[in-house]
Amino acid sequence: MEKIEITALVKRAKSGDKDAFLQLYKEFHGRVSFFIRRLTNDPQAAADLTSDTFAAAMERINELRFGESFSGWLYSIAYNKCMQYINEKKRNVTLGSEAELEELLESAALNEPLLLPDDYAINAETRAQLQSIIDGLSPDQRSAVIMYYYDEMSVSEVAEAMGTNENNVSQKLHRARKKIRAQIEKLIGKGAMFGAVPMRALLGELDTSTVGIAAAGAAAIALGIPYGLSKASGGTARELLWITRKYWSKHKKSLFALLFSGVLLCAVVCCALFVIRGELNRTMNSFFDVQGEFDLILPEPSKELIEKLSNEKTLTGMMSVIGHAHYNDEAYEYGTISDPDELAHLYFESGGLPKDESEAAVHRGVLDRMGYTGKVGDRISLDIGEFTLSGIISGSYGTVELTSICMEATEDNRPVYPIPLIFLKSDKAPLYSLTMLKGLSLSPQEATALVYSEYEENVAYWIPSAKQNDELAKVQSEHWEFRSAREQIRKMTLLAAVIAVLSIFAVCKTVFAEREHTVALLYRIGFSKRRIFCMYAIECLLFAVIQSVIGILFGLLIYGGIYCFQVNVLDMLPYSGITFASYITDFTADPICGSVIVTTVVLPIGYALAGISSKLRTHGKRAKKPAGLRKSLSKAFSDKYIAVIQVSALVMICFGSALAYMIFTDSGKTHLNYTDYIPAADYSFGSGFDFEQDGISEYYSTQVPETVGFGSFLMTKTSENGITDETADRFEDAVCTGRLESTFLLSDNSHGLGSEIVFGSADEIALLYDNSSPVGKAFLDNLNSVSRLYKCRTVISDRQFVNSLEKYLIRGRIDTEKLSSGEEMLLVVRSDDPPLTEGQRIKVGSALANDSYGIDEVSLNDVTIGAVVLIPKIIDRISKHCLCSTDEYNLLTVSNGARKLGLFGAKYTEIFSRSHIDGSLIPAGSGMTLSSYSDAKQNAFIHKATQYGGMILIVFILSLLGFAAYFNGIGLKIRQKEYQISVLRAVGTPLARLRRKLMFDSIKLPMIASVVAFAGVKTAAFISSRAYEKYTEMYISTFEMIPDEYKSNVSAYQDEMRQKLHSFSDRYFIHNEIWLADPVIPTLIVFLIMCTVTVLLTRRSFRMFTPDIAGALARGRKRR
Amino acid sequence: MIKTENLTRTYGKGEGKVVALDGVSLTINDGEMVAIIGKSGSGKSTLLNLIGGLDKPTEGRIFYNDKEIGSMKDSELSELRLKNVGFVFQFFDLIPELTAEENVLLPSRLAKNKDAGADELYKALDIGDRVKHYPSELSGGQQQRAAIARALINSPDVILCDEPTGNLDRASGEEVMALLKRLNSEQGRTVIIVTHDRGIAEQCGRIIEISDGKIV
Repeated sequence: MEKIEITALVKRAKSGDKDAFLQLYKEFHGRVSFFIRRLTNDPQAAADLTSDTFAAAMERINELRFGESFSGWLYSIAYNKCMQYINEKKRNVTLGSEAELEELLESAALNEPLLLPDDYAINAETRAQLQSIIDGLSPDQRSAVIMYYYDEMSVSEVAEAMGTNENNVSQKLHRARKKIRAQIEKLIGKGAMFGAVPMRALLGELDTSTVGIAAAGAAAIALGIPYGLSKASGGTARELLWITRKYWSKHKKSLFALLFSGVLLCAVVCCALFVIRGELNRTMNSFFDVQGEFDLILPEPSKELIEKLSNEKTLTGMMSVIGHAHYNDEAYEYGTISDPDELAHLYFESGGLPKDESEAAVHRGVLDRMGYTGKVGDRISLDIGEFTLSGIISGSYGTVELTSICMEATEDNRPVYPIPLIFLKSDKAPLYSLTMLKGLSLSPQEATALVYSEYEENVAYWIPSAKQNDELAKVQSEHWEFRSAREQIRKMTLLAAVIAVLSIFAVCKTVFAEREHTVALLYRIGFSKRRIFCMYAIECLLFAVIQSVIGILFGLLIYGGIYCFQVNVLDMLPYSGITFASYITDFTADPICGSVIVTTVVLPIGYALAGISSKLRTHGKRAKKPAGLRKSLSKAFSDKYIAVIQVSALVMICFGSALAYMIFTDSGKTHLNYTDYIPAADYSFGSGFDFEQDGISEYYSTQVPETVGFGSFLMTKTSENGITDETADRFEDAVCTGRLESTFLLSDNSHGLGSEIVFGSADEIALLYDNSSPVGKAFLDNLNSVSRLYKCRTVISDRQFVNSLEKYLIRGRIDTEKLSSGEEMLLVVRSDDPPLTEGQRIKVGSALANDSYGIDEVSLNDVTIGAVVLIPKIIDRISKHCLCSTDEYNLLTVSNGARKLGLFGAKYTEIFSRSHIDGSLIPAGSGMTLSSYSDAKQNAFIHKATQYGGMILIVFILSLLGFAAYFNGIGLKIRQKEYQISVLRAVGTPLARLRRKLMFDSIKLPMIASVVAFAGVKTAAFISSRAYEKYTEMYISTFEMIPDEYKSNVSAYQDEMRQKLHSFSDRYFIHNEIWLADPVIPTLIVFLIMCTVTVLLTRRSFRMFTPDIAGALARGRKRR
Repeated sequence: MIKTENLTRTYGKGEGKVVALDGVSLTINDGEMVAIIGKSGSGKSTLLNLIGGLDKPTEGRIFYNDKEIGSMKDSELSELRLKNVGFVFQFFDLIPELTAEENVLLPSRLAKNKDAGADELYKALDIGDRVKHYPSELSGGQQQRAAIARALINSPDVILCDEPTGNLDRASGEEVMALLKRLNSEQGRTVIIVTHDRGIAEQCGRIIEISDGKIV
């Protein structure tokens, strides 16, 4: 062929004429093949290299300049190929390991970028042809080819993966190449677009394989991979998975990060749903027990019992197994409780459950009534025997309900006191529940037998189905504790899910960036979009399964920990979310299914988002002026997606931590303190009473025992003498904010100071007269028609506090001496319209009932109103010391004054002490217990933890998740920028400057996050505090100052308002009382922690800055 | 003057140890135009990287005007790369997030050279109309010219080129070579070119051939 002909053919080939190239191929094939064979001395490789050379020539034909020698150009390509081959062959002999080879290759910069336009080889026709070729390959050959060429594995690795030896693999590869070569030649014969396959581009990628490859090899890849997919059935999924597996086995860090995010998400959701179930379980339990409506603790109840109980009217009270006995001529009920759930409801004032049959735990109320003043460990004598007192059960154990039941139960109209005596499997205690099963028309014996036989079994709830749904709905909608707990958990879980998606997204994004290259390669060799999608889909599915399985295990593990913590540390009721009770499971999402669904949904979303964002790689606007140095550096390092994800994660951490801090410390301020007198440390620590400011280290507190008889007119006898001189003296030095419940005012005019005590029926008056002592009878006789008795609230406080009221004084003067001597009392009012003024005389006193049913002792004294004090603001902390919140007016005196005035039945609710108070000074039988400030703090902590336990744990897990997302980000981000960093270093940017820049970029994120979180908390606090004020107004107008227009129908109005209050408080998180707290400290702490972690992690990633810039550059190029 | 003494660079340890460069000693005088040729993997790129301060030798020393760069701190070495050496990479290595112009100006900004004569460079390299574009929007030749502009922006005394024409078509390659020759002959810059192309090497004043890490 003449030179001029060749030139013409080249010209035609350049314009895309395939026939022309085919002619060139035929013309030169023999010569080039010979040339290469000579160079390589390897006929097999020579054939490959020849094909490769032509492929490259075809691809680059346009780079050939006019007039240039085609043959020279072709030979130079062939030469390069051969050199490459020989070098690699040489290296293959000398090199020990793949890693070192890679390093060497990178340093030699053998990688070449893909310079071809993407769509060059991607047309359906070519792909289809290539796919048809691949059909001729056996799966084994295909696998070997894919591993070897696509995945850049060495022969030995391929052999290992395929479970065969190296020779076998080499043979397979050889045969595959041979087959493909034949196919290609056949294709060429048909005039197909042989050259359309971007062989050189592929070879550029495949350079790093240990043996040189020719076009046939590259084609084999092109043919091998689509084959698997082209066969919809058969090995498709297996092969796709295999590609995935190979990819991930080389990117273990990313794999771990991706799996970790998903596992954490699954675990969090799983755990959160368990917590919600647990909360519902717990709430339901306490709801039914406290309400005492109809919970019956039974195993699978027998049909007979169900039939009998299904008449709802029979279920009237709280189920307790109570015995019947007499003590000191009075009837008592007692019983045994062996059910662990039931026992868990008991709160012990001191001591605990009996350990053997010789011990018994007794209710405080019972001990009080018995006049028993002993302590745990004493022997106590009951009519059924003598026991050691193992514990005193506190008053909160359903006393009221039991009382009402027992009252009904007696036949002689004498009340029967309930005594939840707890024995441990004592045969002496007859087990029956007379009161409960009264309505079943069973004989007591039958009932006993029935309940006993059922009761000993495994415990389960049984709730009449007719009411079940209604009541559950009621609990869910009205029971604010549960509702708000669930709401919080739900919100938090939602946040956690968002974070998890962000975290997964962050990892996916990085992975996609790393993987883009691989995918592009797959695409070039004929992978359709659909197949790539298939590959991702299969992978996603597999990951979701793995993540779900591990995540659920983790979730269960974490929830197990949470449950143990709740029960053992927080003393919460032992009702867990792992339950099969249908009334729980029917109403809450299934944790296992829920977490699996979320995980399965989130991962593809992460993939999809990452996929979409990788498409959206847009450059910034082209500014007229080039960016300055600082901006250039920023541009080079910026990765908005990851930055946004990191900041979001950090904001969550900050926000969550600030929240947790505020809940768990006393920086939260008071709430609802105007509604009732709430002992500060006892109820909500730090609310209203400032312990530290007042220098208080310990305090006594009690719950005022229920008084019986005529309302709270009569005081029950708690000790012989009430307050002694010494007690009174000492209490005046302490901060006493106790109050007398039931003093009376004798007057012919109420003055508005108290409500009138009206004796009701003739029966009541008869009962009072019958039981009163001569002193009482004389008092009752002397009540003339003019003077009436008014129940009057009287508060006792200490001198120091009384003196501090000086500034609220509106009339008269405060004289503590006269208060102490009983000459005067103070009138504390809320409105500027006192019913009495200074100097007016009143008659106050108290009546003491030794056995609660008659007046045994009476005191009555004249006293002068010394001064009038106005405490206008109801929420003022001061009001707690001297006002009963529901009263408009109170009388106030000091301890000694109370004693002098004969208010001997005085009981204190709290005595706050600046210094140690001797326990013997406390009025005997008042049931006061000493608590220290630190104990109170701990109790408050536990109280809050109990209340918000679920939420806090979610916050904690959330923070973990956020941190994980963040940490994932730091390393990945810097690793991803290795190329840019290397280029900057290569052009002379000092490392110190780069370090500074990277460090600043890293530290910027926690800064932004802290500011955003802080602003968020502040805004929320602002909104919430405004809402709180509004809530206060609503509350007052609901319960304290009912507007006139609703006074005709108060209860309907209050019901409606209660609903409004509930929804209002839920909407603004008012129950959390946290928004009034100061978020500075927690934000600062979290900020510092985040900064430290950021600095450490960033510094750690600086390790990759070795002096070998060239190596890093090569690695970076490869990653790109 | 660039002088190397007994330069050795090895990768790996033990049996898998690879000697990429084995005791290379050479001297390149100011204003010389030198081609380093050799087969792929012969160690020529490694030699260039070492000379350019992009890597540290395992053994041996490199002197720039009698100053040994092995003992330099990173800041000094960076300064050297920034001001005295211009590196042209085979794969251009432009930062993809920056426009061609920003890439070119980066070293001058780092060196705080205000008037860097960038426009003249663009003109000389014929990329004036493309500098506002991002590397992904440029052809291989344009990218290579931008990379050369970046290497020249701080008027370095030494220009190191790693296969500068390896990824270019012949025309572009020739233009690049012409430019390098001009820089050498007109401005007296030292130019060191690594290539496996004899045709290119023969255009240089001196050819150093490397094989198996040694000068032949």
